[in-house]
Amino acid sequence: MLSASFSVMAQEENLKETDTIVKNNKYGLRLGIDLAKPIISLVDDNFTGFEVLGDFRISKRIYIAAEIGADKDDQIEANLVSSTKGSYAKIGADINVYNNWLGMNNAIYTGLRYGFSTFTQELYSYSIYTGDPTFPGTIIEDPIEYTGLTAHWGEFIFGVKAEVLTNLFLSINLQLKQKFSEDIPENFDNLFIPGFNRTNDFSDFGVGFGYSVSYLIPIYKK
Amino acid sequence: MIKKIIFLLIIIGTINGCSRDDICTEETPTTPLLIITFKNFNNQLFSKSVDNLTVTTVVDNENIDVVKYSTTDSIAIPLRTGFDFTDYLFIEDDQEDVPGNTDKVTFNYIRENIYINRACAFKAIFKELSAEGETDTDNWIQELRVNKFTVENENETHIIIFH
Repeated sequence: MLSASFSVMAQEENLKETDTIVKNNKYGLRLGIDLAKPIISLVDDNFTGFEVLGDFRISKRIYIAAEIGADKDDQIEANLVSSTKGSYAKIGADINVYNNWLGMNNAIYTGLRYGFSTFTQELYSYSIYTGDPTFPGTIIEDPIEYTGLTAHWGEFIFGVKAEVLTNLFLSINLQLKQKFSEDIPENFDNLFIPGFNRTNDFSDFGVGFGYSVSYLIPIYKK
Repeated sequence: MIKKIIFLLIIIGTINGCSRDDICTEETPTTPLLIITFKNFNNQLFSKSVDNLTVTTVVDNENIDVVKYSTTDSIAIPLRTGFDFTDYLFIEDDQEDVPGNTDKVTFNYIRENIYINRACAFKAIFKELSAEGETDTDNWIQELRVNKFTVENENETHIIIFH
């Protein structure tokens, strides 16, 4: 008799718990690294780079996000050889536009970033371009280093995040960049800007992509 | 849905091939040629063609004709981008069987290398241009005049040769 009443009370308690709203939206700090850059560094002799990234969820759909990284890129062009190295930071926010099923934490997201880079450019050698074949070409090997260069840009990001294991996310994204300002070295140009990637002679646009793994440190649920 | 988007992103990411600034196009102004016009020594306002003009320079002990048997009142010839002078032989009335009258001219200048863009790299412009004729017993060139001291484009005459 006594044991029976106990079990009834236990059941009542269980019912009470399931009545409340399910808190399955995890909030916390997600930290990760970019996987694409180390892979490209292994495959491509002319590039080394890495990036760490993080985001922090501030509402149901909005995440404050930032990336910090460093790149070194050699430009082996038809008529010149140069190299760029430096570091960058990007800060902004992502918006998840994907409606998850209950308990899932995937994301299709778009985001905006402000990007900033400080870097050094070195021009190793170049040729003097003439449209005339009469004289043999002139190649100048006189390395010049341009230090303390900076650049600012805005970035639109579109990507996907998937929770592959509990709290472990894989993410892939595409970045479209628009340069706002840069220090242009005297009598040369920035052929690459860390974080912005390859520059274009005919526009201020840049492109990039990211492929990253990150881990969510849950702080609370809502 | 997510798989489709990942696929799309990978495709967009790999389309990163040739871009417009990989090739130095012909329209891009690069190292300018030296523009020379020929005028009448006795009536200096008027241009005067040179008959059967040949212009020759020596590269690696080999004669290279930049102009050959041409009757013209203006020519465009290259200057050396690796040295501060270029020698030319101007041969008037030059024919295959009958060699013409040769005058030697040396062009002196100071080079400056100027960045163009990624594909073309640099061009040279030439400053403090001067021209010096070698005196011989039978010069057909009577006067060499520098019209522009800086060679930075091909829109104007740099040297006027009076004959």
